[in-house]
Amino acid sequence: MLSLPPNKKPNPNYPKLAERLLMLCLSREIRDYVLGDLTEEFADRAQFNPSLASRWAWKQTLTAILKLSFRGNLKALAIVLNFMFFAVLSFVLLSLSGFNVHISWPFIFAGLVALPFILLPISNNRGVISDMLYYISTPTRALGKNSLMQLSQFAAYACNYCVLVSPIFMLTPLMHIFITDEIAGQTPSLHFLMGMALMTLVHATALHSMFYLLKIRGEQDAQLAIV
Amino acid sequence: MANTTRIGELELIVLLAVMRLGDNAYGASIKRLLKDEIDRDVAIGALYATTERLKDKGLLTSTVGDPTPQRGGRAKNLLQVSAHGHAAVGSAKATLETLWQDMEFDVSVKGAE
Repeated sequence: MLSLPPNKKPNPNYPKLAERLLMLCLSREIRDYVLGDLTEEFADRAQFNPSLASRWAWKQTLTAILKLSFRGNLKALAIVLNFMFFAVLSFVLLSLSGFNVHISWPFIFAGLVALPFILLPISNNRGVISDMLYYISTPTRALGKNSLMQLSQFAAYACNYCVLVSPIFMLTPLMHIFITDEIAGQTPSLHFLMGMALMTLVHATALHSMFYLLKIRGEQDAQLAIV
Repeated sequence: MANTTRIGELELIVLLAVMRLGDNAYGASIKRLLKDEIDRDVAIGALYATTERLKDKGLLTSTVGDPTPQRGGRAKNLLQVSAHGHAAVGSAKATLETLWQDMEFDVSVKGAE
């Protein structure tokens, strides 16, 4: 075992910044216990090699934040980020819907950006590419430890749902444009198209929420077990 | 088989450590025991994630211990295995023993290959 030079006094205090990070990131219920345990072991280690002890403390701090924050703060952050993701999507869809619909790609400007993503699984019969698209489209699932195992399951739900529900949302604006523009020769109603964009958003949000609930249920069911 | 809660490997190890430590089972002492007895260096984050999961499953209970200067004046989270926890450990042991029965398998020879 290494011993300290006589002129060097060990610092038994846990690194201040690491301590603050732990206090900030861990839940109130456990942070004092975690810090107490780390302080106790740090004091033992610092007697022999302070610099190694400090490195150990930082490693433990980062591991603790990664492992324990997901139980509280980061899980909440993930949910907030997902809603922000849909807020951005909403903004994009509504902005696009406000453009002149006579521009060459009317389906995009009618809030139907999701249409290719809906049609792909139908034409592809739930192939690997469509599975990956739906997987990538819901960031929350990437945070789960069993996410890769459940990829196929989530994608199957997504495809079934989209095949059943999406055409109702997606085909209505196209029919509206076709009837008003091509047959009646009038300009399609922007209010109607913006409404459809909003419905697309609601649809995407509902789909996303369903995925998230399925993810939680899937994690509860898929415990790695030895008994 | 009886309907007991399923537990993972680290969960079983932590439950056994808590049972061995008795009234002195808390984060740092469990960590020390695992290092000394089975040479397994478990990060405190992984250990707390496991104990919190075990509490959620009702296999562990906890009480607040006295604060000590050695811990910077912070209290200990003293752990105890519940009756449900004892049943889960017993079930895990029985399962492993059943699977090991009549097994002609020399661990040292296989490990050396």
